[in-house]
Amino acid sequence: MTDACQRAAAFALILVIATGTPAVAGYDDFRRIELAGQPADIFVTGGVAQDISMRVPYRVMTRPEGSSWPPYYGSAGIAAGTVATGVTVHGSSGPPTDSSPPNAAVYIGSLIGTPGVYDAEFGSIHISSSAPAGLAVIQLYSISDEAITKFRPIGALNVYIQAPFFLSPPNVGAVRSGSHPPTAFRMSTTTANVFSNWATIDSPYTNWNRNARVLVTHNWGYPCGCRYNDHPLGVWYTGSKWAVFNQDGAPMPVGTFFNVMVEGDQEIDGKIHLATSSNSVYETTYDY
Amino acid sequence: MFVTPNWNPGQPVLGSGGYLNHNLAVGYNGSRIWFNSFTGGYNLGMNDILILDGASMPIDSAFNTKAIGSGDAGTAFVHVVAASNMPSTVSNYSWITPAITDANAIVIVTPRANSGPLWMNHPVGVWYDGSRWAIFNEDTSPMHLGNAYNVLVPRPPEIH
Repeated sequence: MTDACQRAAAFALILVIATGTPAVAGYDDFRRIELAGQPADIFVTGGVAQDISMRVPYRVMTRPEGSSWPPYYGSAGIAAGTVATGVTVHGSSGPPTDSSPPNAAVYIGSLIGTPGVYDAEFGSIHISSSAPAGLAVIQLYSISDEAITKFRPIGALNVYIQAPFFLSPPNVGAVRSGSHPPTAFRMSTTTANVFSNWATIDSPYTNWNRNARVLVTHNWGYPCGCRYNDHPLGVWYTGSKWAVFNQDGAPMPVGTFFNVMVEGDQEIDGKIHLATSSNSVYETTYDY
Repeated sequence: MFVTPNWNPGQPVLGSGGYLNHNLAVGYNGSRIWFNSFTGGYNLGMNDILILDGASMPIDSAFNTKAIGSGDAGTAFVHVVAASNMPSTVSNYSWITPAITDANAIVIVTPRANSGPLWMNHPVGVWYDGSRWAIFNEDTSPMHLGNAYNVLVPRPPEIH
């Protein structure tokens, strides 16, 4: 990606946030901050240090109940953070200094002003030259109390870091967007990627990224693959790549297809759910 | 919600997972209460992940999940099997409705358990018949009228 393209991407990111509508429903008990953020995507090429400007627009809501602040203080603050290696979020007041909030979130800025007023806070995303290729999710939060203990997720930015010399793998086809590899794609099973009951997924966002979150659906294929795969599916990490596998151990057929969707591990709209004794009864496990 | 079992997940549940040789579905229980650690309050309603053959859920099973809110209705919706979207009522496939006509679309599906789990215990896939996408039972058993599936067509990245 060229510098000009990166600048254009960052600018477009701002527009996406600025023109979006609240994407997160619920959390009515702390809806003091109304932020016009929504999940957005930005692409960069790794291997060099770079910064992406971030603008987080918001509308000041009524001040926290019982607040000792002056009446014109509307809310508490905006924060953002990430757990991605080599990626940090900086607030308007400098680099991050506090790693205790969720996802090492840092202040982007305080929200003060007359309730109902629209304003924005500014920050930046720093990507180091050693940041590995993969998906870095920047989680945005509103801080809903003066003690700065209640973080409410209000959106996410997906930063896709590509390997510096990425070449499109031969078994990944279908949807591409612009000059970047797709995050949702169709993969084919070949003699090169099938091993026993599994087939590796080749994507710059999942290779060497154990924390990637991959969802798959079998695709009969078009043009016709014409192969049934009558087995429950799962995914596993081989140590370098993610793979789709047949849960019953049946051999993975060569010449069939799978639809693959890559998500980050910390996105607001999904996660890795673990069945435990406290959230599982009989055939069911509960996930919020 | 959409779900795929994860044999060896990364963070934050590193080290769990394992085999889960069962067909799955998702459901929603509006009466369950969960603690929201972000707000310090309690919220009503939880998503469920169910094993369709009735086997007990193995502890430490891990799942990659994605939840889509109402604001994403353009890319995610519920497909209901009906006579009007099947070639015949004994067909093993049902045309996704509303229709997805792009041959290059990437379609992710997950069964919805509250629409009749007894008839959904089959691996499912998707296929394009030359004009639109359909959901099919991999074991060729007929699709059941009234069964519903969550359908997701991931949007392309907005920024290039």
